[in-house]
Amino acid sequence: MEKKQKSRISCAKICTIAGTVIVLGLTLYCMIHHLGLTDSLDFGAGAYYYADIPEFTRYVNGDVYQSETPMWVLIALFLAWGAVMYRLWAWMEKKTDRKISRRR
Amino acid sequence: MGFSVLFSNIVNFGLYGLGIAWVVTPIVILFMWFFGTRVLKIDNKPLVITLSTATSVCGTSAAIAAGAASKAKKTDLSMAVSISIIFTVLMMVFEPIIIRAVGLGEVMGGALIGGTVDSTGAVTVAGTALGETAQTVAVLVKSIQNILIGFIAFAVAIFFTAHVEKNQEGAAGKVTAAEIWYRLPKFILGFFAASLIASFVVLPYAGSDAVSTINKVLDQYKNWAFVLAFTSIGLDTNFKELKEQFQGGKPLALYVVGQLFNIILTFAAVYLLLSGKFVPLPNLAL
Repeated sequence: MEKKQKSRISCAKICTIAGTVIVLGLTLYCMIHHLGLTDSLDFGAGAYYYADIPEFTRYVNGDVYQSETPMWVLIALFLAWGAVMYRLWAWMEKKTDRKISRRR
Repeated sequence: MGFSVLFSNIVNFGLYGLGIAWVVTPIVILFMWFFGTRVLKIDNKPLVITLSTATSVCGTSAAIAAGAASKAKKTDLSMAVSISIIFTVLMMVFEPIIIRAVGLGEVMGGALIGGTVDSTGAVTVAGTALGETAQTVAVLVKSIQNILIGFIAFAVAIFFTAHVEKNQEGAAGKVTAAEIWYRLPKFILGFFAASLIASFVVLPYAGSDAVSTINKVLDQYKNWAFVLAFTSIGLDTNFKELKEQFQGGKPLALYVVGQLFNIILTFAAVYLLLSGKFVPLPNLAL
């Protein structure tokens, strides 16, 4: 029994090591050959994990839509909704904590 | 990172953008918090909030900010980021296909993509798959959602200090402002300061080209910092611990249910604001 278990463990270990080596090898191959990258977009460091578009701000330069609502109104609505939601969150947490402490 | 998150983007899509990006997001976070802590009974609250913000705001960046604000473990962050990235890829590919099959249209489809797909890059790609108008609308909605990172991280930091940590320590009475200040992760203040300087000092006085040029330089440092941060997280991640954190698939269930709720709620907001049946459609100069 012990021998069987030991051989199972070593088999799992070998599979894990082999899997890790294969994944690392494929990753390095992709990185060395620049696979999957777009030539016109320079992502710089971290091109293979970080998904932000470089210079994203130029896609949102404010020319596409002219808002009739002034910025201060939007900011006021933004902050008001945020404050309401925070109060609701705190209230929910207090209520459920009270329920738990009553049960105890 | 704060310098690239322009608060002035709030006007980019007016009330339409605010309604889709900002009304829905906190409701999804609250829903996921309730579902995770009370229904699924996940004890690890930093994991719940990290996963919730990754789902409702913008994936990796939001997960890192909320994870730091709630003092989440590195394994929590690894898990939230992994789940978010896997589903982002799936949504980036399949959401435009489903939207096209349903016949939702480019404006509504783009807004739905901008409000539900997690990462900024994936939003741009998925929007482009639908068309130029969809890409523009998706990016407009996403640019507003990106503003939320700092505010939500700030709210999470205060909430965890005032409610979660207080309960864990069994402290009685109200938490003082001094205590909140002592426990608050201070990086959030730097994030805010950079965002406000870029939005209200550099942008109005030096123009968008200046902001873009500064960001181009800062991006290199930011990307290297992200690379080093992710490498460090990877080196510090113990798969045995990660397996324990998985708690029988509860975080995965939380993400899937939360994301479905996010899609339904965002669709409702998009239908209300951009179908033309309830409010006039926006004039887009394309």
